[in-house]
Amino acid sequence: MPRVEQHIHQALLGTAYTPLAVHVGDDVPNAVGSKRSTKITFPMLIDYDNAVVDAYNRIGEQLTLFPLAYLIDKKGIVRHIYKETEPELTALRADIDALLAEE
Amino acid sequence: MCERYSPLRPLRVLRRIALTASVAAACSTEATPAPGANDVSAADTVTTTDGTMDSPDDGVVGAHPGDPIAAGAPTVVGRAVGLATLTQASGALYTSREREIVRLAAAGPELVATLDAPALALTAQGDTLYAVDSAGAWYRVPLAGEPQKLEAGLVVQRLAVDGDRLVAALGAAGVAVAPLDLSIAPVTVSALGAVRAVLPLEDGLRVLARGQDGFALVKGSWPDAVVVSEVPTKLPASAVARGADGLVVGLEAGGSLHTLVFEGETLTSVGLTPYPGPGLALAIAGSLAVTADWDRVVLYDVSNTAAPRRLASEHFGQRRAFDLVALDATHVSVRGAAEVTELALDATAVAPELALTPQRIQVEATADFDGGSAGVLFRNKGALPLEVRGLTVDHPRLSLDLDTSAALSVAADDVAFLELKVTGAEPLEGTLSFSTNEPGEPSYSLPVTVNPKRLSVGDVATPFSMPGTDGELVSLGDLMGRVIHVKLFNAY
Repeated sequence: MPRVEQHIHQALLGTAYTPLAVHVGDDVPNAVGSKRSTKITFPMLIDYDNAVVDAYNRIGEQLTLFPLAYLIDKKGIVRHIYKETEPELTALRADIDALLAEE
Repeated sequence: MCERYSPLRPLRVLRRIALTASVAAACSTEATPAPGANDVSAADTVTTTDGTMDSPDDGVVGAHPGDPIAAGAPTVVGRAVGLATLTQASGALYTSREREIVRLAAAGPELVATLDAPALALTAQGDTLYAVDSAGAWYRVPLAGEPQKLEAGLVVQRLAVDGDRLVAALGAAGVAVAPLDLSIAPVTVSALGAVRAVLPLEDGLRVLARGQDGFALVKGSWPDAVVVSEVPTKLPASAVARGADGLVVGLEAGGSLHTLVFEGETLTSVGLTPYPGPGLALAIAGSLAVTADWDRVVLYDVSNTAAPRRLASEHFGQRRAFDLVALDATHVSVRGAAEVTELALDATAVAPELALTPQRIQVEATADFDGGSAGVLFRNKGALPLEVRGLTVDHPRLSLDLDTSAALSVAADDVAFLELKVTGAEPLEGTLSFSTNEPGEPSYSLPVTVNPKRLSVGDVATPFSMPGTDGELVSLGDLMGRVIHVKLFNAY
């Protein structure tokens, strides 16, 4: 997430790009601590009863697949799913730019 | 309207106080780094319902039996707007909602003080409240007077007043200790291990819940206090509470409820009973230990310290309990995600109690075997026989391995297994329905998914609404027209 903050979020300030970090689980101090230590400035949300991860990821996908990321377009459609721990930033940025260019 | 409740009912809602944040308090500046860039502000999404209170007869316990499983995959979560605890001072209850500390008056929440960031922990002594916010600032809030703030830079899990010191459980980093007047910065004591909760006793003793290191009795003045006695646990020790006659009750999350006694400088676990929950909230009310976790309150009889015993449990109509305060021997207040609920307890109530595994049935079916099957386990955690009636599935390709009675009977502390079969391998979504003789005669409806489809490229993103670490409430629906990058992670 520090990489997303530094290389993508900061570069796209002022555009229609919104990153959301979703902390899975109810360990609020840990989530708060991560937000502070990673110095991210976008929202850090708390999925305290795993409802979002269940809805997005469904049962059966193991927690070891974290972090997972989704890119949702302006119409609310899921356009990209990233299963890599550290997605390649150039490709991620290209995906985001393509969606930002859409109406 | 009490006649609505069966005599088996272990708890009854007396009143609920909604804690939805006020719009003014919901504006978090930190979450909006640049104007127009990230307009994620709770001000747009939070509806103010300050001061609303149900009539005393209106609360229906068990109104949501099977709530977490009834509607399939939940699409909207996060009614939480505050992250802090509940505490009692000068006969009144106090809690936080986002940045505000409020008093729970009869007419609704009354503002006591506003912090600079959402509160994480709250405690009280006499007529003074103590709070720590999510930016790590510590506050002393006299009920009559101006709040005093200390920029400590320390985020805490729980707070307690220990003699003339304010002691914070820091989690992995141990504890931090400051004088009650906050005249000097807190001192961190990491030698005690990972501390999740601190329970001050008398004579410079206190019991710590130390996660994987179990419970410990600690003696001496801060910051030089040392462990004098330890009670190891297999699973994390997460909470401790004080009862009468030197009794301490501790929770081992996912393991046991312990009755602990201390004599001199020795702490001993004298009794155990299974405790399946995550150890979020614990209190002792008279001879009852009370736990509240996700949406269930569980009563334990701890009058016989050598043999604590689970009495009953019941949904209390919320999705999440953050904290619990015992008001007297038969009343507790629970801080839920967005409201505080006052409950009357009946220790004489015993009831059957269903624990289902899983709560969403997923069947992997293949054409090679002409379908597939999945098992459902009905466990009766209650003290009376459980009757499961009217078992039905609503799709012609689904069937149950049952005789014609469509019913199961499960003795106390016993289990029954039901096999659900599916023919064919095409995906389908159906429902397994039944009712039970638990308090309130609840009906259950479990989603059944054959060859479940995971959210994939081209799907409409499932809507959600979640609280953030800065107290904001973020809803996907409010971000339409933007390119949203949702990144799931876990900070362990």
